[in-house]
Amino acid sequence: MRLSLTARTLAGGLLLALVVGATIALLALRIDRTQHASERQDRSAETIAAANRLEQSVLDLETGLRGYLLGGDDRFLQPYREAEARYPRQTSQLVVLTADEPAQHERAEAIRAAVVHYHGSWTRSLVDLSHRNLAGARKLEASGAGKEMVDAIRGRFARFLAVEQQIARGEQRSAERGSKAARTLAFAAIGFAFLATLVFVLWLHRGIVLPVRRLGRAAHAIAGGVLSTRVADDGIAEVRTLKQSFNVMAAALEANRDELEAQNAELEGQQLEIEQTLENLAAEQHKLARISDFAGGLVGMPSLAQTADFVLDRLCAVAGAEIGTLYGSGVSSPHELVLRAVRGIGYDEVSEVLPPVGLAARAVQQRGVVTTAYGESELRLQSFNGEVHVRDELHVPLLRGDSVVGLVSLARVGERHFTPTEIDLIDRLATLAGVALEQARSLTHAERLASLNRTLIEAMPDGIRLLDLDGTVLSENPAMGGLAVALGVGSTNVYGSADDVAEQMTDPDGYRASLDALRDDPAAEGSFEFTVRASGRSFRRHSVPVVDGGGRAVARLFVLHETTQERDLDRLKEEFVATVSHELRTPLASIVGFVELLLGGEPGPLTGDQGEFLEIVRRSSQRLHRLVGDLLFVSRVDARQLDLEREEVRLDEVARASVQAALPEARRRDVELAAELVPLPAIHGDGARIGQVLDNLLSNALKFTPAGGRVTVATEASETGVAVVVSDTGIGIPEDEAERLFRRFFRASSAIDAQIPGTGLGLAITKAIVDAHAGTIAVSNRPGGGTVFRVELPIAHPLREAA
Amino acid sequence: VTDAQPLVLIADDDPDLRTLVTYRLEKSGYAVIAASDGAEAMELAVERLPALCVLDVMMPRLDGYELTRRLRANEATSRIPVILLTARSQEQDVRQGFDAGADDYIRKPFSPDELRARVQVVLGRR
Repeated sequence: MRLSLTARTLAGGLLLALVVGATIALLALRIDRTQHASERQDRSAETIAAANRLEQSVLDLETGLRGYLLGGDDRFLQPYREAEARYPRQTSQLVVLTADEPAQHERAEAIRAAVVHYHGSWTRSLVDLSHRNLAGARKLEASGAGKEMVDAIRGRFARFLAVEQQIARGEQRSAERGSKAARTLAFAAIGFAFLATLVFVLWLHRGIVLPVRRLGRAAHAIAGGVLSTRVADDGIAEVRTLKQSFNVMAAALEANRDELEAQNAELEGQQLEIEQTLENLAAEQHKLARISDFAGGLVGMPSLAQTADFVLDRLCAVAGAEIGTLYGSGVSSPHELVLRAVRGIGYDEVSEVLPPVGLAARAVQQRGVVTTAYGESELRLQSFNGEVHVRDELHVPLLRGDSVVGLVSLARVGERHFTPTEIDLIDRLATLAGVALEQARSLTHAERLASLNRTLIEAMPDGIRLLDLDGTVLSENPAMGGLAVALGVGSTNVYGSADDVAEQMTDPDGYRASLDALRDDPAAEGSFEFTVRASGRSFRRHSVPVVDGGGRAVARLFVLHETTQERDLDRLKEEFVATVSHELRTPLASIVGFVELLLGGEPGPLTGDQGEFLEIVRRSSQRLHRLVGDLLFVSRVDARQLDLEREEVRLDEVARASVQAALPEARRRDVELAAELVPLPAIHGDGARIGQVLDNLLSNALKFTPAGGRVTVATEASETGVAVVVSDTGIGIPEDEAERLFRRFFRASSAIDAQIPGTGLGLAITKAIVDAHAGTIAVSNRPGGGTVFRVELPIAHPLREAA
Repeated sequence: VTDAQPLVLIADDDPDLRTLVTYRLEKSGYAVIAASDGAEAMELAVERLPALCVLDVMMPRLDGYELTRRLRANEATSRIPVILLTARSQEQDVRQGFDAGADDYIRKPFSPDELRARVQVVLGRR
């Protein structure tokens, strides 16, 4: 395991501290012990001194006593008294001093007991005796018993002191030994610490200072430019890491330097290229300046002719060409190139339309520049400079996208060919010119169209008005201006003034509703007719939305058409028809009535001829009557006054009734009338009118079928309803006339040829009735001669509302 | 003209038609008085109180519809039956006549015999 530098340093320091600490502890222990020995020695000395003092006191007791006894004088008892007062304290002191030494302590206690015994039981008794019997006391004393006691005590002291002295000597030796050992230990510890410090310092020197110094030298070398410098990547922990990092850094620096040197070399190479490019750019810039100048000039051109002149002028200048022509698309015929500008040559010397062959035409076909150099005498041109020789020609098409919108031809007289640079520049200018020329042409075209539109709108007798979606009037034509003033609707917003304007109309509510509908739905389209109450003038307002490219309504157009005259005409016609029908019918009523009276024989008998002639008058007047009825019917259809009843109608029953009614006529004409009627579901319609249809068809069929022929009426269910088919074996109808057959007053050529009378109104009326029922009527030729009419009526169809 | 003959008032601005109707009705046993316009017819009706009026629709001054309305409005003439003679034949015209109070109508041109038949029917109904 590799330990970090910190760990190692810490470990070393810790070890040293441990050794020093242990040494100091040991020394302290030693000194303590020596001190202890010395203390014991001192106490032994004190103990000995105390023992000696006590022994002296005991001796004082004995000698004092003895002296007293001997002398018999109380004064001699003085030492005894002093010893008697002194010894208890001394015995206690001795006992205390020996407290740590049990054996000596015991001896000390024994000494105290012996001393106390000697004093109490012996000496004090003798003193007391002496006061009463001095002699006895002397005798007792002389017995030597006291002396023996003291000697015993002294023996005890002798043993005690001997032991105590022995102890004192032992302690002294011990103290001497301890101090000696401490000295030795201290020396040893100092030596060890010195050695250990030395080792640590050496280690630091070798492991850190030296590597760092080497790194410093290496860094210095790198700073001096020697980037290949490296250090051995050994050593301990952080130092090793430091060295490795240093090496990495040095390597990176070296790599960077190498790269920089390579780039430098490259840059030097590019320097030359840049210089070359700059030269090219300068040339290009010059070219661009001319192009930009050209483009700037084009922008300001006010007209197509001026644009063409400008383009040709500049191209000639750029090309150094003396002669030039420019063809451009026709204003309203973009596919034709027509002469627009010339230079150095007269208009009448060149074709007005670009010739379809030649170099110019080739340039158009190729959509690219065509150049050619002629010999000295190949092409001569008459110019106001006289006759000139053309040496070089250049034809450049003017393009807009892929389409050719013009062609410029340039020609040089001088001794110089067109250079690629010139051709390139001309080609680029031509692109701009193409765009500008086409825009100018479009503009001219648009202006012409706008002018045409304006003229049309202004010349229009109908009023035209353009509104935005909010009803604000954007523009209107003069006719509308006049009408607006006449109508009092000359406001700026149509919807805003709708209420006021509506009040002037005969139908204010309808007028308002019609405007509301247009305002609410910008995409709505429709017509509305209104009449101004005061003037009685009528107008039809047609309105269409104006949509943008995406089909979204953005504005609204009103076209106001005065219908006063049309209405007047309609009214006149109605009045005319009503008058005619009345004025014709009244005399007819007289004719029919009187003829009938005459034929009835009441006024008097008639001769055979008279009767026959009156019968003719009667038939003719009846035809006239029918004709008046038909005319009236047709006029009602025109006026949309054809009222239809709504009822359940069975077509087969209506057909049966009509066949029944026609039977006498068929018999009279000797025509076979057959009915093939199948029951059919009821339809909604006007039974009388449908009967009229069948009557007409049957009457026609009988009329156009020669005697001996056959007429068939058949009913059948059709896809959407019911159908009735009337077929005959008559004279037929030419196929090319079938379509016109239902027109008013049209009569088939076959009918005219056969001189069969008729008004040409019957089928028109028939078709009008069928149409009013939302049905269809068709005519076809029957195989083998004759005609087939087929009428189909839908079952479920609401009747057209009569207006 | 006897009292037994019912009196018929006819009004028409066309003299030929007046002649035709007068002839037909007189031959059929009726007494006839004629007026040439609506106003005159109104005066005659109030004055003579006919049993029946045969009135043209389109007349000057007062048309047949209005005349019928006035006859109905006048207490003296309100119960006199009215037959209208009309050159019009539209359904709405017919309705207009009945709305005004007419009892029947005859379209022009008409058959004199039909006129006689209708007159008999209207008079017989009363």
